[in-house]
Amino acid sequence: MNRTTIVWSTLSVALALSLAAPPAAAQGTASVTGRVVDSITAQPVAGARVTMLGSTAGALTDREGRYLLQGLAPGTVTLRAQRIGFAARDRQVTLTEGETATADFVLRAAATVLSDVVVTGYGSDTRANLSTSVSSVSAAEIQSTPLAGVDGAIQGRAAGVQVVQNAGNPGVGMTVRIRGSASISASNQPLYVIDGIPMLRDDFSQLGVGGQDLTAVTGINPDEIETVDILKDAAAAAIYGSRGSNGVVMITTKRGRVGTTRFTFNAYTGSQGVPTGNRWDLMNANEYITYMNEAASNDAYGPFYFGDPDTIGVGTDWQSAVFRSTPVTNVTVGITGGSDRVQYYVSGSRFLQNGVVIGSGYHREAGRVNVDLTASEKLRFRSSLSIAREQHDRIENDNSIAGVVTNAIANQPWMSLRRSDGSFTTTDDGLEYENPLAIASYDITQSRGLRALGSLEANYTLRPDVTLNGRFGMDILNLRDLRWYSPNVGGSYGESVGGESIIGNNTPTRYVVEGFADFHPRIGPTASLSVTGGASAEWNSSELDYLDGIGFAGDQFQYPGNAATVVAYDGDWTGHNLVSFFTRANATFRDRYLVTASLRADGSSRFGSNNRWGTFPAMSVGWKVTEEPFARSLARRGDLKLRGSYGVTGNQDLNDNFAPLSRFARANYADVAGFAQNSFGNPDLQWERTREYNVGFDLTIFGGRATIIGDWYKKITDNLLLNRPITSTSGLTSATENIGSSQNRGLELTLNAIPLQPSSPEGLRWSTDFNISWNRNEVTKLFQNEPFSVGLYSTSRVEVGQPLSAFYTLRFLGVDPATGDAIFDDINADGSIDAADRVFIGSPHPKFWGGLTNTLSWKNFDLRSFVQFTQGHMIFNAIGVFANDGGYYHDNKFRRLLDRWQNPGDVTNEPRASYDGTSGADLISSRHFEDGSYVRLQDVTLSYRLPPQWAAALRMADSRLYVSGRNLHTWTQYSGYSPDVNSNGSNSNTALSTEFYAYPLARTIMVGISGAF
Amino acid sequence: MKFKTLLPALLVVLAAGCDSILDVRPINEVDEGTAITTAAGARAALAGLYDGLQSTGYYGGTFTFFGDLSAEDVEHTGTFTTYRQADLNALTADNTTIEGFWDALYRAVGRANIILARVPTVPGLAAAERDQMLAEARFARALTFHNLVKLWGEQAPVGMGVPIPLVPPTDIPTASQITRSTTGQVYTQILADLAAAESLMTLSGGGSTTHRATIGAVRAVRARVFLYQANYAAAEAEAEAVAAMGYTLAQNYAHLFTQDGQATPEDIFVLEFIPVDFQLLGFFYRAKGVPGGRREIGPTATLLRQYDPAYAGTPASYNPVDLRGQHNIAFTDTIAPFFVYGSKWPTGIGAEDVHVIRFAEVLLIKSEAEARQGKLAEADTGVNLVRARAGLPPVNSIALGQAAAIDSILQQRRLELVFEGDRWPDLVRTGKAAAYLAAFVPPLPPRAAFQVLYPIPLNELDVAPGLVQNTGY
Repeated sequence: MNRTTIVWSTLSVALALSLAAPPAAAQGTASVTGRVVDSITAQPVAGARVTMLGSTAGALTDREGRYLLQGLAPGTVTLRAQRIGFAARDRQVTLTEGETATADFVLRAAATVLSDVVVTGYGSDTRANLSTSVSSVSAAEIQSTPLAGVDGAIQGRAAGVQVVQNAGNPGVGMTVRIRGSASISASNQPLYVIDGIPMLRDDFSQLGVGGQDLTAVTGINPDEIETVDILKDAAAAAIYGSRGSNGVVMITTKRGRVGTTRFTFNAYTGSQGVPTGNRWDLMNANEYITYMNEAASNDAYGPFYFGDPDTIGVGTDWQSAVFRSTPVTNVTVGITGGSDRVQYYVSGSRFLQNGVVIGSGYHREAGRVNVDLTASEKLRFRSSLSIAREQHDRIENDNSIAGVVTNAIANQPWMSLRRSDGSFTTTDDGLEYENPLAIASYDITQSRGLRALGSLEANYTLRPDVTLNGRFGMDILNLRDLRWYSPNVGGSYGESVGGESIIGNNTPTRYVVEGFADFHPRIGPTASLSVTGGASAEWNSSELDYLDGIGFAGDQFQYPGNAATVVAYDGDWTGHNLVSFFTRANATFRDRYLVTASLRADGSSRFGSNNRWGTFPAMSVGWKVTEEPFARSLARRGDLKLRGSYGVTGNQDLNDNFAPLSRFARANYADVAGFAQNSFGNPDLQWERTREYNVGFDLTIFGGRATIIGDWYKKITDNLLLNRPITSTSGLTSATENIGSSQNRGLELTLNAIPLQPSSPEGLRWSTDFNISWNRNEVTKLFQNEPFSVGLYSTSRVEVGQPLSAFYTLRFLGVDPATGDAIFDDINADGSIDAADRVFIGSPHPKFWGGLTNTLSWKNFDLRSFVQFTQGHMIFNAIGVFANDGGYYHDNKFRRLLDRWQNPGDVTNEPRASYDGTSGADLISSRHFEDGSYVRLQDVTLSYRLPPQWAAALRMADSRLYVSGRNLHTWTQYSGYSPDVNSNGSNSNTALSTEFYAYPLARTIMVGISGAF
Repeated sequence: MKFKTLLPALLVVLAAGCDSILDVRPINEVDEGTAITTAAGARAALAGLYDGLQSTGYYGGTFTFFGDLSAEDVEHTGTFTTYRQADLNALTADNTTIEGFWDALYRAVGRANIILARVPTVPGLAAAERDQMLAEARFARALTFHNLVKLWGEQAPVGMGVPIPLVPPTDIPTASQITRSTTGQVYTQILADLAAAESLMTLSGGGSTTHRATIGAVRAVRARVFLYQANYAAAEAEAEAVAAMGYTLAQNYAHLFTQDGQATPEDIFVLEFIPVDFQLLGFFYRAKGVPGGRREIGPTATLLRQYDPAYAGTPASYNPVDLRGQHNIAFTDTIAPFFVYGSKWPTGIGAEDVHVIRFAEVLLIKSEAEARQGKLAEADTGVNLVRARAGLPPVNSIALGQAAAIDSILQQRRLELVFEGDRWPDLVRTGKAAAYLAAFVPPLPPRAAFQVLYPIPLNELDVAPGLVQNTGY
């Protein structure tokens, strides 16, 4: 803390010195005064600069929008009023010696990044007044994205925010990391706050469907969203205290405005597919049999062990058998408008996305009613309510031997899809794994959600400078799971038990009650202060039940009610509550010195009685350099603000709500009810703590045509919530403690520019938005600093001094041209290759990532392209364990093994085929890791605005036709469907960037229309 | 407006209500302090102990799988690389299945220790019921210590055994200071637990109760323990005592492995499984292509040739006389492509009861103990009962001579108890494991002699630094 104190003191001194700026020089006795107001709000524009062209004279407007230029020479002169965020206005005025002329200006707002309003949690501010680090994504950027959730829509849109899609299954959760990963056992996903209410985010399904999981974030239609603001540094997120460490995604939904009733609509439809070039390049039947025969004969099993390749042909392309070309459609209609007293936004939508893999899909029907009611001059009400229904048609996916995609990749190509009688082939016919098309056709895996999410807020103006706010919010979700393992899938577990049916119900609920007051005292013409303070209480609970039965009289009975035998069941309740007090003060001095300080105290039922409460302070300062008199000459062209912040946030997102208690839980013996101890309590348990420093700048140049926002941060997280192993001889194997630390530091740059600005609205306009982020992650302390391995085949390692879950395995050096055997780095030079020879070979975290959006507008056309990139991360391609194993397993093989070693002297990187694994090809090593860097042309949209006369004829306004392509091309060295992969799903902290039969990403081409009438 | 007063009121309510809001207790779980304070709680804890024995890391899975995989009759045919290590006798200390195995056994010990610590002071328990509970806990602990020491412990009594925690841990730092007792100390504790169990036990043996520990189970396990200690006279005496309780062989071998847990007079102690308990045995042994499972592990050609020496790699060539060979082995198809798989467990549902000890084993213990003491005439009795049930002709141990007689009894043990996790501990006990490992010569991957013992899991060594790893790992 000492160092922090010094930083603040230094900044304070700098502020104090700059207050003593010299006045402007005088030339004559004429004066001019006036007022600058906003054209829309008619409110005064403070801080506008009024200058006399051709001279150095100039002044800033005060809080009332007034300016005064004195000591001017008489004559007719041109005055210019300008302010970042507004278009400059010129006026001619005649000055007379000894008199004061009047010249008022009405400025029209010109949208710039700095004039955007940013939601900060319990309040909002313009970006120009912000001294913390917040990224924003606008509605235009996220609407019409053919993805279920807003998490995917913000991928590549905001600096410092890394989104990994994980897989292409419709509607599944994505990994969102704001400024890196910090935690090992608690969640690293951000907090989502929608219209002030923290939203349920987790996967509440009770079905294990392989690697990918659901997320409650999909319950919101992205078309209902006005803006997304992402609180990144601790000073911004600290207002959410014990839940701020992973950053906060503030979602603001659309609201009605005063005006006549408008009907709005946006509809698109598209076709999705998996382009042939994006698929796994696997062997055909002839190549496979040849390879396997060679593997067998190399290990002395004799020739033609797997049959004669020449009679076998090319066989079955299993991938084509399960992929399809299939539609995605979305229709959102809205009614919006309002009077002075009531404004409303009502919308309804249907989003339907079939999956490119047969059997999968997602659809959502959602409605929203947002109403603003001015009950009296002093009392306003705001209600926001969304109701949604979701249906996930999931298929068994990655990380499962019964997965549709898994078995399409793994099954042998010489096998047929169907028997001669048209029925599906099965493992009885020799398939290594269940027929994927049979699974996709007969099995059901459905999760259906009903969601009510909303809030009611009252604002009461007690005095002109004091507002009281009360808010009630709720998020109620009911998720019903249904699973049916059909007996028709030959060779499946479902067949062996006569069908299996599972139903599950989970009802998580959250209720929030908050009260807070805003105080805006008037403290001077160029200074302002606003203080917010209040309290919040939150109740969370979740009730679930589950029933799993087997043995059915036929394929038509798909609910457990018809099961002969119950094989599993559950019924449980859990909950956790949070009570908070918070306050924040924003102060501005001389319109150029910004100070914000906040403090939140959180009490959580999740923590031990000894450490139930935590406090989370934060402070940030900003200095608008170009508002300084000495920088006046620069101010006309641009604007520079320097920012610095420090804050403390927490993370309490443990799966276990009762970790402080030692508990006994169900442990039945056959039909005798029993229990046994399942946890060691820890009454000292508390939150993870993150301290974060942030230094940044907002620079606007070229008169507002380009804005650059840069940030550097360092995040130190300690007291990690860790399920640390304990000696099993105690009877239990782990205990949750606060042990360990990690660090993230990084750089972020955002550039928004308008390189071409036409003089007429018809002309060619080019705008470009670019962001790039670097983050470096390091584990700095662990339990006894003891490293541990996690993930598939234990290749991800958590070790001090390394990035979280860096890849750790044998290093493959090449193939011995004499023997064809794989050569590995014998690190300890003991002559044998074993676990002791493992080394760090790469990181699952990218070195840098970002996005680039370009928009060209000409006449009625807009062309927008979005490129997203991620560089420098490695992918563990675990499919290679079976498909690049030398022939140890019967799975189909990568086609690149055609280049394998075959004869002494062959120089290649693919080892000799070996059925017994004697060539070392089956050892897990750096051979199975690939560079995951990629650049993706994510989105290209061409739209055409209907000319006003056409629109008028159709009684429409603002109507737009568009054609759009998504996931158009990816430049990458990676051999799989998508380098944006993790088969461990979005809830995995420590097993990252792993490919194990992930679902492919679709390429989508769509057409749409939007408009209003 | 009312709102003016509402907000401060809300704040006050919040502040006052904090403590009660923040006190959230679980409903489906019970606090450790109150769990075992009533008779019902004590009974629930006892059921929890048997649940511990049922674990898929213990009798419900790994204990059986690894005991088979490490030896010659079973091989890895699935996808789990940790299983493959066991099959190749190339275990590493970071093998996660070994870790789960070790954890499951000590979890059962921990549950027994909690019962032994808490149940004596629980009010409202009749003395007889209380003593029976304590006896069952002692029995389960002895059984588990023996299963640990036979796989992880050096054989010499002065050699490194396994840790033997006897009380619930007071705190983690204290628990972390545990060390390995010598093998002799472990056996002393096992016998002490069995003796205490016998004296406290009120349930007699003889087959009326088989799903819980009885005096019959205590004495049968003690016979096995004596056999492992090479205390053959004692083993014989215990086995005879068990035989005197009225157990007899099931008429049909297949009756022992039925889905509905059909009782047989051979049962001494079985773990009862219903579908919700789900043991993995059938699911992992049975083949993918027929009702059952994932064939994670399967029988070797070596095993098939034990049942039918004429087996030549095809279903048609497998025609065992041995009824056990008919029951235990199946093929997915009669023509290629086919898989051979273990069919001892009739389904993949996981509801078959698992035999912890049954009378056939007791007979074989008795015969072996007798043969090793040179009582060759007596030795024939037990083994020939087992052979007869399998449809095999009797042997004459005297005609065979002592060494061959012992081998023929061990061979019956192998064929009788296959897929029950007995083969590898048997090879270790009889000193044949080292020879088995040495028999692998190129081009087969070499297997190191130290692999006779399983490694202590790496994670365990990290958190209990007083534990010493077995040599070689």
